[in-house]
Amino acid sequence: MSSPSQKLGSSDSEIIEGLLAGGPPFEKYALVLYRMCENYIHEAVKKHPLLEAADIHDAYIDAVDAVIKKVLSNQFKKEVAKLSTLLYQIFSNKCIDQLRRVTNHKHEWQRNLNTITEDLPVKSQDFLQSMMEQDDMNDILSVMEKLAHGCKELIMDFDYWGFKPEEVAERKGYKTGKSASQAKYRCMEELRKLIKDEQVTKSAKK
Amino acid sequence: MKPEYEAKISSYLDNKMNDQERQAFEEACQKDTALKEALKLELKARMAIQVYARKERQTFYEKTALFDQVEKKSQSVFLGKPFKMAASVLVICAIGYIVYQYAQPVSPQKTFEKQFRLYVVPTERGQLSDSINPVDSLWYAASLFYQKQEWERSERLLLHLKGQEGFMFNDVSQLMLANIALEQDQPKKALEILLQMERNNLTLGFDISWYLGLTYLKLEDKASAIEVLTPLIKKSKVYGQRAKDIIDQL
Repeated sequence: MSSPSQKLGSSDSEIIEGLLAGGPPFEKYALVLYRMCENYIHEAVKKHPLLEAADIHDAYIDAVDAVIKKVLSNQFKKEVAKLSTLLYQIFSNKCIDQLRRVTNHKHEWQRNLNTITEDLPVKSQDFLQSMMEQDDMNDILSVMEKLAHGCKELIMDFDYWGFKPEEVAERKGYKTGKSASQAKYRCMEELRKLIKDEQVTKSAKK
Repeated sequence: MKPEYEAKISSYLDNKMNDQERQAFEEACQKDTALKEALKLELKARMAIQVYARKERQTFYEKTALFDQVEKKSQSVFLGKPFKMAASVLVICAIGYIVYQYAQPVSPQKTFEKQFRLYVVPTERGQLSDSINPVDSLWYAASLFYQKQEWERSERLLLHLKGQEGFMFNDVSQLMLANIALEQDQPKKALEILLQMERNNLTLGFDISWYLGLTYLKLEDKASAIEVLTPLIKKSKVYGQRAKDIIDQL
């Protein structure tokens, strides 16, 4: 039986090369990876009746992006496993996380916290979880929308995909990696300021 | 955010601390409110990025998937059956053109242009095909020039026709010549033709009287004009009113 990637006509090597190339090939192969195992979503919908399809879809997107991040940071070794296998493992874990969140009546923000702290030891995850529980997280998570488009892209490249400053400089047309880092620093300051402003507005309303 | 906080927080959240360092950092957070707030702020920022990223990626995957579908569909139409498509387009265009042509009201100008193309040009160039009777074609051409008020060309063809075998140089042709003479400001010539017609007792009596009246007016012979126009007032429906108006003015 042929693997999903063979059906799409792209091997793991091709996908990895495309993702590492950046620019349009990156977008193309990110999509190839996404579509390569889309059937996992349908399987998960049947497997987890407690979860809504939208939650499973979110989990799949997170899983695809997690695989991409592993490829970009050279953590993925194609000799050891297939991309589809890794994607399946991560996706299964994400679905279980979602299931825990739903059964424990946790908030949406807790899922996001789990995603960004999943590499930390469980003790540290619990520490952060209890620390954040005191805060009202509603609306704060959508502040990114208020940032300038260039800032959003820069933050995505650095903090979401984990590109190195030199790579970001090349992608976004900065002269050096340092100037790209400085620009990103200003953007992060702006983001933090927006979050603070949002908190002040919320407490003033109360 | 203080730079020393920023470095510590990044190191903690990026899992770059060992167990001891991590524990020390967590204890410091309990004591140092500023550090704790800075950590919270950084976590919120990262969560905001995560939320935004997921939304962006979802939009990207969905939009691109949709675009792919549309593109695939259009490719199957345009590349899969190119000849069929081209033929269909040509047929639709042809039908459209025919419908458009027939839907257009036929203007006198168009009719003239068509007839001019068919008869006059070949006649003048001597390229008339055998299937077309030259006398008919010349008559057509003369009539068309007459309608277009190209008096000289119409007169030349009419005079040419006059001697042609198979052409009946009838009262209509003569009346046309008379009117052409009038239009060309040659009332004497017109008078000659019209009197000749009157003598031959041709069928177009009222027409002859009317043009005679106009000719006499051109020649400033008011009495004769009134004489020929007066009978028209009572007898001719076509020229009666116009004749009356002229006589009233005189």
